[in-house]
Amino acid sequence: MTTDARTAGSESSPHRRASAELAKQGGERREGLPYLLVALFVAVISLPLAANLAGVDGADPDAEHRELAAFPHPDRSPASIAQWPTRFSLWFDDHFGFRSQLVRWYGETRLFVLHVSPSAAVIEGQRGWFFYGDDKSVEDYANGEPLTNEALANWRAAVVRAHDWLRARGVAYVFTIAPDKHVIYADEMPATLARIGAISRADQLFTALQDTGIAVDVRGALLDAKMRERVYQQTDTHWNDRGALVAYQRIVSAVRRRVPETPPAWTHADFTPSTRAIEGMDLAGMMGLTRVLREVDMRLVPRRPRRARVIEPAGARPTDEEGLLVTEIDDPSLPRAVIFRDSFASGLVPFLSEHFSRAVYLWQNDFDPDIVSKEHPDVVIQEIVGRHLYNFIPSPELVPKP
Amino acid sequence: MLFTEPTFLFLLLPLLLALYFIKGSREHAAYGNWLLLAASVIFYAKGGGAFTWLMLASIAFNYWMAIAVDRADGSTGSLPRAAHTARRRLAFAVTVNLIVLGVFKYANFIAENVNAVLRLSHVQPIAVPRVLLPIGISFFTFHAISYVIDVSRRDATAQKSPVHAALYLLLFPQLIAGPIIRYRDIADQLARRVVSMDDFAYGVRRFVVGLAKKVLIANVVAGPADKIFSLPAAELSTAHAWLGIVCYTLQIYFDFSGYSDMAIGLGRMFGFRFPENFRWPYVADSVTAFWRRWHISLSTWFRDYLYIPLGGNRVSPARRYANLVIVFFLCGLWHGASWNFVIWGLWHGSFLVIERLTFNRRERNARGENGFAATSARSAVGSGPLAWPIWPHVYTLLVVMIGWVFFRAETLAGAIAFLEAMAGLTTAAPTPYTVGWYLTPEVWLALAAGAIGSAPWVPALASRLDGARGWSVPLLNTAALMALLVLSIMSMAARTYNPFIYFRF
Repeated sequence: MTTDARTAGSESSPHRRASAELAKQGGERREGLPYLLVALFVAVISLPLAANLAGVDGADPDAEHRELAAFPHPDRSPASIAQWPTRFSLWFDDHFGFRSQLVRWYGETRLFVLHVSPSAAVIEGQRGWFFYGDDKSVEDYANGEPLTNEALANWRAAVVRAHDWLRARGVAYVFTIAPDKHVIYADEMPATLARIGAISRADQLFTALQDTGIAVDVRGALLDAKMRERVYQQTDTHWNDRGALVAYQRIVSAVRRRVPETPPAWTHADFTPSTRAIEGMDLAGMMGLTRVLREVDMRLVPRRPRRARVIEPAGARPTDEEGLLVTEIDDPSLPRAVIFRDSFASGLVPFLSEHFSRAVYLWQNDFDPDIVSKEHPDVVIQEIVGRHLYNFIPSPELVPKP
Repeated sequence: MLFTEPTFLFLLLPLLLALYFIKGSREHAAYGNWLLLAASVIFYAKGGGAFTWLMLASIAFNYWMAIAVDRADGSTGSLPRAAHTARRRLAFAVTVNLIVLGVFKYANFIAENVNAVLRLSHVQPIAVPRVLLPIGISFFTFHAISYVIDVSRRDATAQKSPVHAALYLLLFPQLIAGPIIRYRDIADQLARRVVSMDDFAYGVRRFVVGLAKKVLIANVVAGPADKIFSLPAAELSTAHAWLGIVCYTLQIYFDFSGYSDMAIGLGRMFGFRFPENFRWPYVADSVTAFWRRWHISLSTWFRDYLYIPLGGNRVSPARRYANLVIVFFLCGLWHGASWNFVIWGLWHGSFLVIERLTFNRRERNARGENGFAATSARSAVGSGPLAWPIWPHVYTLLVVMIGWVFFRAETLAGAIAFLEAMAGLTTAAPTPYTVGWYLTPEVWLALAAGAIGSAPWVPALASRLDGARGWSVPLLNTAALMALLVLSIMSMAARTYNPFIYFRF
């Protein structure tokens, strides 16, 4: 018989008394645990509202690039009162306490622990590269959906018609496609995304326009430049100053061939290269990690002062995202330009504006003859990012016959 | 409103808990019920909008009809006449409830099908205005019908208090997605209930686990499921199809059972004890057993209010099987106004009939005859590899997963194309999204947690650990629950984060 068995039946044994005492103490401690669980639960779910009541706003407006819901102040109308709960709920969703902190923690755990992009719109590439995954970017990378013959013919018609209409008015025309980052840094894309075809929609369009001499292909120059230095941002969709300079030089060369009075493009020698560490950029913002990820911004600081000034909107910077941006230089010998653009032109504006006495930048992919008629430019530049060949269909019929 | 919205979890719930328990009393009567009713109206109105008035009108109608049925049953007139009057009033109440459900949920579906026939006959289609679907109307209607039927069957007395009646029908934990609570199971709790600290803690545990199931498992596997089910048929490879259906199989279980857990947990916080709605359905060894474990409140509702009134097991076998098919036809239709849901229901009904025809009749008789008795595929075979215990589970899971294809696909053609891809009958065009693209570490983690969580291993382990002395295990349990809660609310916050890449696109 074991010791335990010999003492099992004895209620007075020291062993049993000690065990019973321990069990009682353990039971008393365990009885407190429901209180602990309940207290923690109530504290966690109450903290956001408590923070709001203490005046803490959980939103981070700079991170989301959108207008966050404003606090609803109902007037006395029944409709306003009926809508107040919904509008309040929208406000609370954007502003509840600790929201930005929770979003950041979510992003950090997804990215740094699980190695998963916290945003469905952002692709985590290799070696610290991030890519935009929305707006047909993946389809553009995969080259699996070429333009049909009809679509290609439509594009050619739109570009040629704009060119002919402008030429009849003595206006030069340059058409260019800004390559997405996944075109220049395809080798940094994840291996789990497959490339299907070898010919992109941009390839198709450049081939279709080859005989016209209208289109400017900046991809080759960027691929060459990439061998020497990084030409795109890692946490942003766009090129950096180094990449923008390369594209700008090709565009200005094409403009000079058509408008000889255009000054020559600035070169690398006109700038002092510098790098600075800044907050994560637009892709980091989409992941809620603007203040967590860092970008090494490879800048080009001009050695001589830039002459162009933004005159509309007043006080805006050249790289601001404005629907209409106008720069001017007080030098009538310089030509005038109208530029139809999207976000990739933001990096080009500081460079391009130095060449024109007045440069009107319109954030649209459509060619608008009315603006051209109003501005009387010497050159029209049309810039469109490559992935927009998937969701933008030009309308040649909107351009009047020459 | 949903439990996973910040407006609920960080605003309505903390305020409600504070106001509910402010009195300090452990017994909550009129004050507590009024408060819960007000919160339930707010909860519904946030998502239901103007349909809240429809719900309130329905509550008033069913309240008065239940009293009318009760009075007819209890009248001092002749028994046959009283029973006839009660039956007429019951029929009227059930009919009105079904008409309301039919109009709001099935009018457009009926019109589309009628118009399809008219077009074939070259007749001008009927123009029917688009009818919006009130949120939760299917659950609400079944609650109301079970209430008046239970009163007519004398299983419960009609509720005299309009507040209690309204609270039963509108109680927010179970309002939008169940479980379907029988009035007789909750009648006493409406009038008197006590919330102990253990009850509240239990409610917290169920709620947190349910929230984690929904947010950390279901929402994660929903990503690949949604993307794969929206792939064009031409791009759907066999591997993609299987990954998609595995993800969806876990998504629907953890989403639905997670929501039920949250409902049960919230109910317990306020002193209500709701019945369980899921019992590890994916470990079932037959389709019959699956339906004793999946959405239990619905299957028992159909058993008690449709199958048994149709004759149950008292009729001939042929009639019994026909009744099973009818029940599952209606069960499919209840889930959605689409032929896909009907096919899903009939798919399950067919296998229930096949199992009853195929399996050991003596074994069934030994377990007691009722329409949903558990049977075992094991009894259909003898010995050898076919008798290995895994096969019934494989068979059941396969049947269930094929059924989910119909449940999830947008169209019948889409479901068929999906099944063809699963069977390897198609050659898919290349797609940039490889299978590896979908299988991120997060998805792998959710799949693993889902596989483990689909079987009762965790509760079994928890029961063993509960017996351990000391407080380290309970402390770890509390810490784990809080970690799940924080991870869940991080995910909830991220869902409200809706950045644009530019201010101007």
